[in-house]
Amino acid sequence: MNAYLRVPLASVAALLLVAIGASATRQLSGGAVSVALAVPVVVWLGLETTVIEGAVGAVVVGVLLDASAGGPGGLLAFLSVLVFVGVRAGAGIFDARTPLGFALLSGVATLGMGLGALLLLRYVSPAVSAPGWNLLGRVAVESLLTGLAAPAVKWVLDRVLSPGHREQPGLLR
Amino acid sequence: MFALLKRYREVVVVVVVAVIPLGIFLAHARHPGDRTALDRFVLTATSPIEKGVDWAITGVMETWQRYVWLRGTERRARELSREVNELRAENAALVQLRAENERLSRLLAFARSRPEHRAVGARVIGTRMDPKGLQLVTIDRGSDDGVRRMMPVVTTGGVLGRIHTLGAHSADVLVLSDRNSSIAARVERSRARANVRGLGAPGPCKLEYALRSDDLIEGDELVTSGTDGVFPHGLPVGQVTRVKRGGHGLYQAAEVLPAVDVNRVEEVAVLVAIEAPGAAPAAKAAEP
Repeated sequence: MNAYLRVPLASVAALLLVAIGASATRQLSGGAVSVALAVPVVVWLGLETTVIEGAVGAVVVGVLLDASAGGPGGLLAFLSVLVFVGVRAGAGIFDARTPLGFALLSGVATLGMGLGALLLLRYVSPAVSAPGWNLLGRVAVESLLTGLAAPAVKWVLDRVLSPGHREQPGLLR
Repeated sequence: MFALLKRYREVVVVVVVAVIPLGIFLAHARHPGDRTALDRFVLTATSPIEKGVDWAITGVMETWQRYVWLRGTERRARELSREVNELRAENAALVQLRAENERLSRLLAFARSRPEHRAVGARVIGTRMDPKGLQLVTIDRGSDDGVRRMMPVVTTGGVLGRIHTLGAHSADVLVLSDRNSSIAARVERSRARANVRGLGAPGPCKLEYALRSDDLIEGDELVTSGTDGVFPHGLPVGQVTRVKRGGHGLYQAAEVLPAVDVNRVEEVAVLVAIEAPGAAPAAKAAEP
């Protein structure tokens, strides 16, 4: 597939997954838990695209996440890029392209994104409106569920965006 | 400089795409504004998808729950079936109570419409329509309730019979269809007099002692005449259904359909006293 098309398609996929995740969690749990299905898209970008393409894709997905989450603009876009960088840097340690590896990496990425968002929001928010640490449990559950769903997301992305070649892990070449 | 940038362009791009959102976040995080056009676009774009996913998940879950995941359904169905049966039984009891209430209300209205009579309400607790014996209905009132032999027993429809055998708390009523029952009656239309006698079985009675010259036609209503010393006058007895007038003889014969179906009676009133002046014969006959 043309490399220029992968970022827009990945963004559309992220948009779809955000909607599916929101609807599914509402249907299945009534909103008691959440799932971040767009994070595996960022992880997939980190594994399957070039650095520039993936970084741009990650920031676009992050912007969409910011828009759908309703939080302060830029937060999730910044964290998406960090996740992308983390995946690029850390994916060489183990084979993250297997379903289990992808699930683990997606779970950890979601956890990292959640923790990062909590820390940054606590840093910038007034004490009275800062998110509390009691949200850590929800972040952990969200990471677990996202990790469980990640192989299915990868399966779809592999087939829809079918990479022409596989990037080698690592930030610099 | 450009060579350096070119060499590290990937790092530069990554840093730029990371720093710009961070800057935006830090700049606006303390003063969150209204939703931007992008926010509205995302909302507009995701809404139909969410609706579609919602529809699909609901459909799948309903299909799963209705046709596949039927664990406990049989037990639940049994419970509901039992509950339905209980409610049906309860409903039937309530319907019966309502019907009984209506009958009792009519009986009370009947008793009140005849202030010259003092009535004791009673419930039918048994019937004995043995063709070899008497045609009897047992009621749950007896001598302790002021009931005496020969007292008339009526329903809202009309005459049922008279007290035959008396116990302390129950009594047998000889119904008008018994062979031994003879009630003095009068044709309401023509005032012609006759006796209504039972034939020994629930159902039609015969009309006796109706003079051949009397005006009697099918459909005539018969009421008690009050001349037999048992029944006060004016109570419905039955309807003339068939008239036989032979070529000779003093009387004409007729068949009478009783006003009261003795097989369906459930509540009755025993006229224990007739308080109106001039009703002494019935009061005397009521003595045991």
